[in-house]
Amino acid sequence: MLSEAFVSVLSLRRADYNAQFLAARRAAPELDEAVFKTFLSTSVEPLVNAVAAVDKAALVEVVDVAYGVGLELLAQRLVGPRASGSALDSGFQQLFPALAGFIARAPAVLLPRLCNALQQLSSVPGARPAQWSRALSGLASGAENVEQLLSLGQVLAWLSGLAHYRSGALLLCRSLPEGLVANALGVPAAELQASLSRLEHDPWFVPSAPGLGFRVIGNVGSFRGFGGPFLAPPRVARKGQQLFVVSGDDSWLLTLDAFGCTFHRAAREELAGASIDIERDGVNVDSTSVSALGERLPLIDTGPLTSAVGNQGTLLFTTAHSYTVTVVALQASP
Amino acid sequence: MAIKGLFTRLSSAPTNPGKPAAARAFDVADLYRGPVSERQAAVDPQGLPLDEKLRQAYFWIVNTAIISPHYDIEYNDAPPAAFKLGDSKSQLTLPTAQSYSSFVLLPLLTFATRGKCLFIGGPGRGKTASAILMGVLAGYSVRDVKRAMQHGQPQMTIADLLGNPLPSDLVNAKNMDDIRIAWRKWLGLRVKIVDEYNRIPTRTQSALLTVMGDNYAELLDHIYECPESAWYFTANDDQGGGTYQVIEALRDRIDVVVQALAFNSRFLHELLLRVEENARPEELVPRQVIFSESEIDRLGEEIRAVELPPEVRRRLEFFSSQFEFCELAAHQFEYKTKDTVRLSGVDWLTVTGQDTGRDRLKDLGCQTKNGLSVRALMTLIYYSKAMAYFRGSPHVGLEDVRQVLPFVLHDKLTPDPDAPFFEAPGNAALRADRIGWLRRMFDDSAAEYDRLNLDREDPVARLSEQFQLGLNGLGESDVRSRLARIETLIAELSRGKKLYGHLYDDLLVLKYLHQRYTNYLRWVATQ
Repeated sequence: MLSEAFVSVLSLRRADYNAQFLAARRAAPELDEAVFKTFLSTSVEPLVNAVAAVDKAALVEVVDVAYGVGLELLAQRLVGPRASGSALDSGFQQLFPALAGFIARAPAVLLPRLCNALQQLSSVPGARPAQWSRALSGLASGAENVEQLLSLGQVLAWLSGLAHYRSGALLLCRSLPEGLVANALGVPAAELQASLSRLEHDPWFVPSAPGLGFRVIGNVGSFRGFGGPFLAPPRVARKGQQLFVVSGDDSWLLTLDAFGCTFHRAAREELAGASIDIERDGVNVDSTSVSALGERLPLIDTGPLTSAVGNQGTLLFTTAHSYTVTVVALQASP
Repeated sequence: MAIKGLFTRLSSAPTNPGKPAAARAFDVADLYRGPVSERQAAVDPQGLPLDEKLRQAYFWIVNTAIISPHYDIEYNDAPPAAFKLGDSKSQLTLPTAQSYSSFVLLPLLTFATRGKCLFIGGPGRGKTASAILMGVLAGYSVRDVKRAMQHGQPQMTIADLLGNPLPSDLVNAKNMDDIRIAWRKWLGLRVKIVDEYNRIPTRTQSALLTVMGDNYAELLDHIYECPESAWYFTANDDQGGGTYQVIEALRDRIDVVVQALAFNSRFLHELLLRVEENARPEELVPRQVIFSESEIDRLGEEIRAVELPPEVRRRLEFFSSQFEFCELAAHQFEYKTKDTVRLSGVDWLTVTGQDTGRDRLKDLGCQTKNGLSVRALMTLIYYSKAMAYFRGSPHVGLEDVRQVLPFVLHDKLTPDPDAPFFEAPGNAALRADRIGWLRRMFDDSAAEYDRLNLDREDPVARLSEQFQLGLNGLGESDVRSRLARIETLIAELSRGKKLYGHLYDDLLVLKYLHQRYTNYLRWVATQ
């Protein structure tokens, strides 16, 4: 049963909405009317109710945008029963109502962007859309306007696993209110500047846990048959500070830090001049242990090493009996 | 409110993908880009190159608006698969590169070049709908475009077309300047549509010709200057079947002729959807593909900047030289043209019947009753550039010329149906298939150009290039040497060879060069 507020807008804009639906169905004939109705009642309704509670004047515009966005998402099977994940549905049901005050101010900007962000977070292996949603809804009250909310979303996306946005997000941290950034990073406001300075130089620094030090981060990637990217046993390579993984004819640029790791397809030309070596002195790795910075860590033996590379902050290696790349943080312990 | 949703969604993928940029940079702003288009500014109109925008418009039209599964403008980057079908061994080819539907592409190129396009074909094939779409692409509302459309009808007067003097001024005016004119609004539009133009009375056609040709309207000594516009005409029958014969000058000003091809019955489900959903594509044109006036200006500038390489230009020259020559039209060499025959009123068959010396099957000039006008050639160059521009190329390729040529010359070259070429086995269908015939002639011309090895051995071109360097400082002996070379070359060309159109043009060029050098020599002698 739809709320009165939602029904009133749907009735008011009935002709337009019907035309939009028919036009969308023409482009995507599989668009199902019943599924769309369900989407409206389960996913759009919570947002409409939340907006109605904060700003009734914005209701028509919000429904206009949510209706169009919903059609696009449903036609592309990104929401509803045929979607491969539930991040966007959850976003509509939980995150967007929490941001109702902002959405009422700029629905045409915020709704598409938030949907795109959720879609990106849910499509990148290892990224954590639920964490992003929780953090954004929890910290949104500290944002003074829509622009700050969007910047906060970008910082949180980095912290939720999109490592390739690290440098851009750190720049945004310098422009956002200190209290907001400190909360996002989980540090006291007094320590914020020091934490930001360290983040800019140390990819493995975690502001809320500064004492982690030299450690094995874990394995990234896996055999394609198990949902990973690799068809053949991977090998790693390095070009300056950039780290690459090669598997058969495919290659990827790896961006990784304490918050996540993302793979980006690389052309073979990008690997021209790449080397297989460890830049930092005193780093040694074999099938059973890795040592650096005066410490030695045990490893689970997965066969002889097949490749190992390291830049100033990270060591990557592959072994003969594994389709994964092991990541080690070359961070001095405090 | 603009209709939103998928119907108006454009592909975010480039329509003409090239190599990716070498530098890799991650922009945190990309977080908010994705499958959902923003309601306000999905695409930054300033950031999108105009050729890409033009292609976006094309693909939106063919994918969404117009049901035209006819890819008759074929490009290949590898040998295409070809199949022979039916008793007549009709050839069906599967192009290997991005190919296009002329019914959509040519009107769009007309929009970009502000040319004049004639849609022909039976009723109900989308001619008017396509023209309306072009009006909407220029930023007008469907209602404005439809209201501004001129519908040809036998009672159409000049006043209907251009406007009326204000009745009160007619009574009170002391002189013509005092009479104010209520000009028709359509004259001020940047896309002008004349529906069924062959039903307009001849006198009104003349007024239309002035607007078309000179871009102004005149009424009672008052002038209305029209903006630069793209023109679209429709005609159910282009071969004189309208209510009135279209005056030749009007026909000659039409740049391209596009045929609305038959509806493919396999696409009936598309029609069903349109009926059931009451969908009108012209009302759903995405904002991102609507061009502002300055963008259309810029389109024209960018198209003109596309290079036409000399080797392509030379082949175009060779092709165009085939048609005007008529050996038996006159004694004076310069007047041996088909236009001489036409102006004299002498029966065409009488002239061609005496033409016995040449291989009339091989000679391309024998297939037409006229030659190419300067206007036709300029249009051909401009549309070739537009085609190259549309395809994202900085220079015109021979294939670009080959593809637009039949549509530009459709009404410009008149075939001689009694020519031996059309009697040859397999060629009878080309009497009806104007596009196929013109493309075939261009191919034959290119083959002949290759056979004559003109890319490598073209002494007339060398002499012309030499002359283009200028005469300043040229000594008497050099001039005499060049004159001798010209005379020798003419003697060589005349030796044992039949006279064909391209030779005729070469000989006239040699005569021109000879005269310029002769005049220069006389001047040098007086110094």
